Amino acid sequence: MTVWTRSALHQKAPVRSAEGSDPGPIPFALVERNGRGLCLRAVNGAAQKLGLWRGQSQADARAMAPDLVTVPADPAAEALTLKRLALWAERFSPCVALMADGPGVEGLALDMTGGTHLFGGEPAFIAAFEARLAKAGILARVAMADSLGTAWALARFGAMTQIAPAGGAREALADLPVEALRLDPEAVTLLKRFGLQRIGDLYPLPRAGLARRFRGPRAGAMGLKVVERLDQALGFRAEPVVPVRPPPAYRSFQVFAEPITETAGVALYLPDLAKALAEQLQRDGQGARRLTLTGYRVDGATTSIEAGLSAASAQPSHLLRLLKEKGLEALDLGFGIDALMLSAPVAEASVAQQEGLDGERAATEAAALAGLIDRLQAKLGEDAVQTPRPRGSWLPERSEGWDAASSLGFGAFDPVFRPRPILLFHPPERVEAIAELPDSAPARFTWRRVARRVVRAEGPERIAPEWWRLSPASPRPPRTRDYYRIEDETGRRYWLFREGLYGREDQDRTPEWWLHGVFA
Amino acid sequence: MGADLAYAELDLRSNFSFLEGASHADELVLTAKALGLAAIGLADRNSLAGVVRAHVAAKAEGFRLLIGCRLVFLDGTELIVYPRDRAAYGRLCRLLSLGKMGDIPEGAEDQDLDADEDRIAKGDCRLTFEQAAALGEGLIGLVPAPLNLTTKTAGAFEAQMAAWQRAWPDQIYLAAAPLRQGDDRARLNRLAGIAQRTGAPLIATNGVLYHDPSRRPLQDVLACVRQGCRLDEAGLRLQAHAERFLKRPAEMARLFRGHEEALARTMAVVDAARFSLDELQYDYPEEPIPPGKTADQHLSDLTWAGAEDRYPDGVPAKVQQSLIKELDLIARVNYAPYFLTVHDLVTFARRQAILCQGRGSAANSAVCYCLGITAVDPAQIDLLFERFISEERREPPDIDVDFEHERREEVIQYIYRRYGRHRAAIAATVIRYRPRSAIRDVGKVLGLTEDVTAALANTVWGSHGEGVADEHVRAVGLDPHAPRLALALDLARQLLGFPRHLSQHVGGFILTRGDLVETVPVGNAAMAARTFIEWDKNDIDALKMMKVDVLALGMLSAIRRGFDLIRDAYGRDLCLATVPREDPAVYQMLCQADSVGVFQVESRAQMSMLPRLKPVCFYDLVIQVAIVRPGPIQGNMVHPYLNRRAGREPVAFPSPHPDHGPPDELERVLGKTLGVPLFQEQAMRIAMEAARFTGDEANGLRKAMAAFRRVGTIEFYETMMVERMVERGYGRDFSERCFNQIKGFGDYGFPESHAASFAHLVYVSAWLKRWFPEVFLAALINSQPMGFYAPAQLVRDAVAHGVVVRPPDLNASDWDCHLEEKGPAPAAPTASGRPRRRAVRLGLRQIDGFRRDWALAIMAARGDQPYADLEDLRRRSGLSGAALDALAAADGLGSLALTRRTGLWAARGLPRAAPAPLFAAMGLEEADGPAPLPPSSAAQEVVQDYQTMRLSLKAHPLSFLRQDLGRLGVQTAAQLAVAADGARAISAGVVLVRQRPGSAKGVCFMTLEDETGTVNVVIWPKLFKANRPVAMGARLLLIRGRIQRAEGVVHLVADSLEDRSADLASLSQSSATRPSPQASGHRHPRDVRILPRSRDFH
Amino acid sequence: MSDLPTFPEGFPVPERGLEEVAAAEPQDLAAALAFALLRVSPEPDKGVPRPGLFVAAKAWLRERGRPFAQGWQMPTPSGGGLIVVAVADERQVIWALEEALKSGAVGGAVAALSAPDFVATRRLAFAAKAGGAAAAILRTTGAEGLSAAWRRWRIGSLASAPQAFDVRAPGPARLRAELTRRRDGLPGVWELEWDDDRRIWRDAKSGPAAAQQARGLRLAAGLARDGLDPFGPSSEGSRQVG
Repeated sequence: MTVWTRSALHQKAPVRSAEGSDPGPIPFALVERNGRGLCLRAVNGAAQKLGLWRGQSQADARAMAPDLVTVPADPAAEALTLKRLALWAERFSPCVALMADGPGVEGLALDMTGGTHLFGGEPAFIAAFEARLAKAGILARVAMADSLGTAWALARFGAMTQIAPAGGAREALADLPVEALRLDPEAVTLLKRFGLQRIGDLYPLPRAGLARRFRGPRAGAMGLKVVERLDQALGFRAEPVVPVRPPPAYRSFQVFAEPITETAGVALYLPDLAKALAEQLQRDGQGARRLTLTGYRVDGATTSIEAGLSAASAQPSHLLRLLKEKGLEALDLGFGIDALMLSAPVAEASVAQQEGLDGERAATEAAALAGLIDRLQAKLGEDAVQTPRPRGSWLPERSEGWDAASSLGFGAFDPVFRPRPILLFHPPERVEAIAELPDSAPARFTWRRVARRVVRAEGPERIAPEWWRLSPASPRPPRTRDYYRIEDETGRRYWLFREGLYGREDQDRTPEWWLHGVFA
Repeated sequence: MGADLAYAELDLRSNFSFLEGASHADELVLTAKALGLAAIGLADRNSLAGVVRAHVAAKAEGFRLLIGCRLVFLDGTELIVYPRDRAAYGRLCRLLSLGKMGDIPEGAEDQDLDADEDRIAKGDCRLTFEQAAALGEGLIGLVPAPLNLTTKTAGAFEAQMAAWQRAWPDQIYLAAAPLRQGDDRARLNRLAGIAQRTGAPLIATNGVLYHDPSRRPLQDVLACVRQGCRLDEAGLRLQAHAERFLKRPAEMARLFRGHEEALARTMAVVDAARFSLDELQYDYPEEPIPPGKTADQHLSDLTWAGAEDRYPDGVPAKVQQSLIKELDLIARVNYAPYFLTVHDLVTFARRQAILCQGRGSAANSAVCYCLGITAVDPAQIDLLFERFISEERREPPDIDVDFEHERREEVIQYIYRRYGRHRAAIAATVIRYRPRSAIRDVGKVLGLTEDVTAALANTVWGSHGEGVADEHVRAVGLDPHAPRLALALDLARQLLGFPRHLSQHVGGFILTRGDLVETVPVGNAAMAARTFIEWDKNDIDALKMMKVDVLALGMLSAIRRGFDLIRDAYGRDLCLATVPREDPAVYQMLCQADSVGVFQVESRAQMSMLPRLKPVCFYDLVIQVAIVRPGPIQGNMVHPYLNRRAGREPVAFPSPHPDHGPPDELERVLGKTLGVPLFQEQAMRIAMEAARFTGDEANGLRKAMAAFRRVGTIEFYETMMVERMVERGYGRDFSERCFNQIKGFGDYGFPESHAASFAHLVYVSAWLKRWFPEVFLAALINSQPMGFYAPAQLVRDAVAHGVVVRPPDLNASDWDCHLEEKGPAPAAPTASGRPRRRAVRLGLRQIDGFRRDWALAIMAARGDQPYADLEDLRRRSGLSGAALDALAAADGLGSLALTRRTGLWAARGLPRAAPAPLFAAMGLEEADGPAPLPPSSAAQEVVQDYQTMRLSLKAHPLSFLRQDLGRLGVQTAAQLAVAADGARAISAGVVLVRQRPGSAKGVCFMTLEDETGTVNVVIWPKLFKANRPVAMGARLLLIRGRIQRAEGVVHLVADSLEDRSADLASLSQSSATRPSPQASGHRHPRDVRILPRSRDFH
Repeated sequence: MSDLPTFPEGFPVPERGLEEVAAAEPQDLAAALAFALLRVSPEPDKGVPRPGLFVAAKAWLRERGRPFAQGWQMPTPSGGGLIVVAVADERQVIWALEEALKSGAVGGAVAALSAPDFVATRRLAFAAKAGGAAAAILRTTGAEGLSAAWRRWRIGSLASAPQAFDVRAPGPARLRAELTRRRDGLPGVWELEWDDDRRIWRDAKSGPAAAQQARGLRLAAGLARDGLDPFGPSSEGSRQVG
């Protein structure tokens, strides 16, 4: 069992947004709101040096270091980061568990049973593991022991020893503080009240007596768990390790001495991987329904591409073609990968199956839509296939956003009370117009060199600029618009606006007229 | 402008429609007047909170203002109402009170308001149209048309309009505003049709939210704050344009072309709604007066009877004269009921044995002394009481009464019982945007990161000030000209001073003869069983209504407890007025700055002033209290006063040029303070005497300082005062200092009468400390939390004064601290005939997390029979496991011969729940023996004492480090106290207090404590800046520096700082365990709770 | 109102297959687009609607304007969402349209095309049938060439009737739809008016339009009696077009 732990995932201070200055050793902390208000959740080295600590209130920290940069913690993102690392660590062991003990002290547990010889023995493995993490910018301590509890204790609290030899847990733990038993703060406080500071202090105590004293108000569900934790660490009681994901049954693996940085390199090794995987599948009479190609990056991230198969297959050439069609370029190799894994997370007996029954029409249509959008985007480019979404702005050109289409959903527009044109000119087109001051509709206007006489008109609908969207680039500040719905003598309907309020905004420029759209 | 163009804006919200209206009332009034509007009607959302301000502003401008309200009903429909007369206004107030309280309590019966789960939350208003209609007589109604008129919504609106028109008891109008949504012509025509069919005439409005279009950005920001969103995501929730401003009548006429009658009808409303706030005749509640007597006679009788009691040897002639003069004045201005009311409260408190004392301009009158409202003997001190009531200004007298802080609620509930909730309520406090809150809210809305916003907010030291200055912005590494930042700063500046919500005043009560809810809306407070009116102190002043401040003061609780303890233990009966006066021993103690725990003068600043001011009589204490205030400090009045007092500088009175007035005009004002203005009213009187301010000007100056504070007015008065004084022959320097002092008084003013009342408590508490230090300690601890020092320091100080203090114990302690019989013989010679001093037994209240009901259970079951063992304790008292744990952890089982560890082991070993009696009787409970727990060191015991009680009677933590510190050359506090001026010294101690007062320009004052006493440290800004993390973060600090000794005050001026907090953490380690680097890294030493946190003041 | 007819008498109900909608004159394009959207809109309550698709060349979008979703609140094929495809040239318009139709993923599609050849229209018509979709080719002008489209329309703008509460303002949109060729019957001409309350196109000459208008005029007359001139002082209000 191996555990590594680290001080904080987010060691990097961000560049100060308003400044763009040298990031340097800026004291930086992630903050979260808890019962005591805003508190530091994790601190970087510079902040640590100033004496700021995890759990300190932000107000206190700022009193000490006014230039502390803080960013709200994003536990979801942190969890994701940790999970990514766990996936990356699967290169060492198929069984990797998350140890989400708390912010800033998250860890991973790897079941290395019978696995370290692949890396040249335990010390060499630890050295290699730590070195790889360090390369990825993660300060970590790795420890190995028979039990999860002891490995955790050594990784977090061990002074020198990082490996507890088989059967040596009792000795290795004796000098460590009781916190190393993964206890509630409440239990730790109580132990210290008894004067029990080191794990070794617990050994001479009557176990029944000890257990009896650690029944808290929360005895049922959690309890204070001292004896249980001690037994787990000493290996008297089993502790299940729940891997971050079940190891795939079918997988082929390749480790490289030198990191591969080019897609071509991946392509080179792919046939062997595909062949190895196909052999495993064929042996069991299975075919892959889904393929995952995972690259393990030197910076501690993983990158992968996935492909689904409409029917189970165990043909190496088919698997290979599918991955290549998917595009190996999609693998983000970063500074290089040093291991590749091809796996079949979903496999089934390779017998052709019928599908597409009437009841599944909606599903079929959804699949057809996804296929259509993919085909259109593949040929025309992603930007060419768009779908509108309401954006919540009075300014017409900002009121709807055009996003790359996706079969996952469309924007829903509420019915508008204010009439809007069917076609919009973007940018608006200049027109010449004559109108009565201050805010009457034009009597006539000229658009695209054709003069038009206005027969009916409604307006103005006044829309002021969004003052908070400042564009330092624009030489003149935007002005208020007065929109008019206009019908000319031939029954065509237009949407015109005058830019600039008479007497209020256009002290030095005259109002300008624009055509913004046409109505049915 | 023709008469046909007369127009009044009647749909208008001020910023008292919180987070909606974006202009101050005076801005609306001034703009409306300038634009030529005939009048405006103020109709804030479900509130009349802003009307007084608007009324005052309109009156000053001679502009017609209609007082109204925008009722927003539960179903979202709205109705703007304007009362025709006083009676209709009363109904409107009643209606709003109904909406805010759910139900208006009538009469004096005791209402159980807490039980109501549906209690309407503070700031909420729940009303329906039907409720409004029931009280709508005399209220002109304007129904704002809906924003979107489609076939469907127009139909629904027409139906509503028709129904309302039938149901509303007064005239009702359909209010149409040009919305500039494109269809204004069609909209007005459509609404005109509805108006015609329903019979509710169309009336023109503009739905005004701000006085000028330039306020649109601020209004957008407010809308976002209200909706809790950022501007970028606010979208259609914002106004599409900037049209909701006050418009000229001609422009309104243009927008309503074809509907001119709708414009003219606004004038019909103006003519019909004649109510003005001037009509609010304030009636003071009538006190029960014996039949056949007038209020004045009754007051006079009570006063003279009181005088007999106060002066058993005969009322001094001077006091007699004062009483005659004051009673005469009170009668002339008709304030007798007010004094009778305060007297009634004080009498109630006395009956309940609640200690209280009045203060305020009227409080230190001879009448108040004789009525028992104050304990400051007018014969003893000559106050400027001739100004306690301003006859010409007719402003109501101001009396604040402090009560014991734990029992003030009894007085408040008495007021409610006595006058009924319909006649008594607390005044409001308007919570306004301060620089910090403004930049925070604006920043959030503009999408600045919390980081940037917090950095900006933190540049404002404290929460007062004029805004966020550019250099502050640069100081935190931001560019004040970056577009978004500049925008945020600009908007935050605009937002400053905007009301944000109403809160209840700390204790200002307003009482009326008639129904209060017909004078001003009353609403629920956040606190259960509390109600407060919508107007604040300034509003009440402006309307010349009277209020009584019922305040809470911790020291009064402590003093009352002290009197009780003295009576019980030593058989001596004392009260505030009978404590022996002018005791030289008390002044001697204070001159040595021996004032830990003493009211007001225990802070570090006060302590360092004591040896310099050397108080020897009561009036010196009055000055001592007033001088250590921002006003005199900012006005540079402290040093001149001290110098004159010490005779280092001649006492001189600046005088005007002989042409301009008598040379002694200021001597009359400043005589008692040696020519240096120290009190608030002195500063104001200088303005009147030396700068010849008229009553109105002085009033304006006073308001510019405190109420309705607006930028620019202060500068106006500064020029006026300084120039007039210079003109009259005063030195410019002196004139400017006088003004600076007035400015400093603005928010922290201390008038002489307040200072006198406080000084009396200073004296009484000092007397207790001097003669009964054990009583003083017990009383202070039993009144916690209060005061400047934590129990640990109070105990340490008492022990240093020879008091024996004993730890909490299950067989000896009560909940409170008490005095134990068997004390040792007096340690030091005390006053002759003084009984043997008793010991203080700490109460169980001192144990962290221990509950009062646990303590009461222990006490009740104990009786006269001590507990024999833990099992006995648990069986008799029925204590829970948690209680036993807490008691054992605090080492409170000593009388059972259990140490902390063995006691805790035994306590945790007991079955958690009380066993069934049968099992108990059969002795069937599991039992197990003691365990081989490691012995604990003395240091560990002390640490655990601190962890469980925040103090230890065993030793000071520093004593365990003394050997190590000694090796570093560290001296004790006791050694430093006698060190020579200029000597180099090293000191180490626990940080008790950190202060960076705004008036000290970045200097940091720190108080360190060790086992021998405290050391006052001064850290200059440069050193502070270089060592900020250490200075602000360390719990245990080692300081190298130089001794500075002046006028009996010793400071250590720091040269370098060293954080030794890790030493504290090591105290809790048994010597065998050495923390590994990881272990210490994982938990920072400062985080280890060894000692309570320091108290930091910014 | 549900008993009122959705379409004028004899008006061909939109159905699967390919039609051509041409603007009578280039300025009538907006009206033609609105009509094309009507022709490819799904019948209400026909199960979960499939998304609609609009495809045009980039140059067309620059010249004619881009779709404005809020203005497409009239019947659109986008009951299930709208996909807009901007392509380089007309060849790609045809390709994208055919792909969309035959995929079965869209319920209706409009493509802006000037002159598709007969082969192309045959392929498109086939794809529409295969995918169960309604498709319309939107043309800026009418064309006489061979086409496999089921119907051919010519659409012109019509002056609107006065608005009920503001005669100076444009009333509900009106257009003239001429069926120039149909494979299943006789050509015809209809005048349609947009009904904003029901969100449908209706016969401009009869039906609720007339009733609504009459009510509005009666109301206006009522206002006039009240001394209010709903039409304002301008003489423009009385001008009639058409």
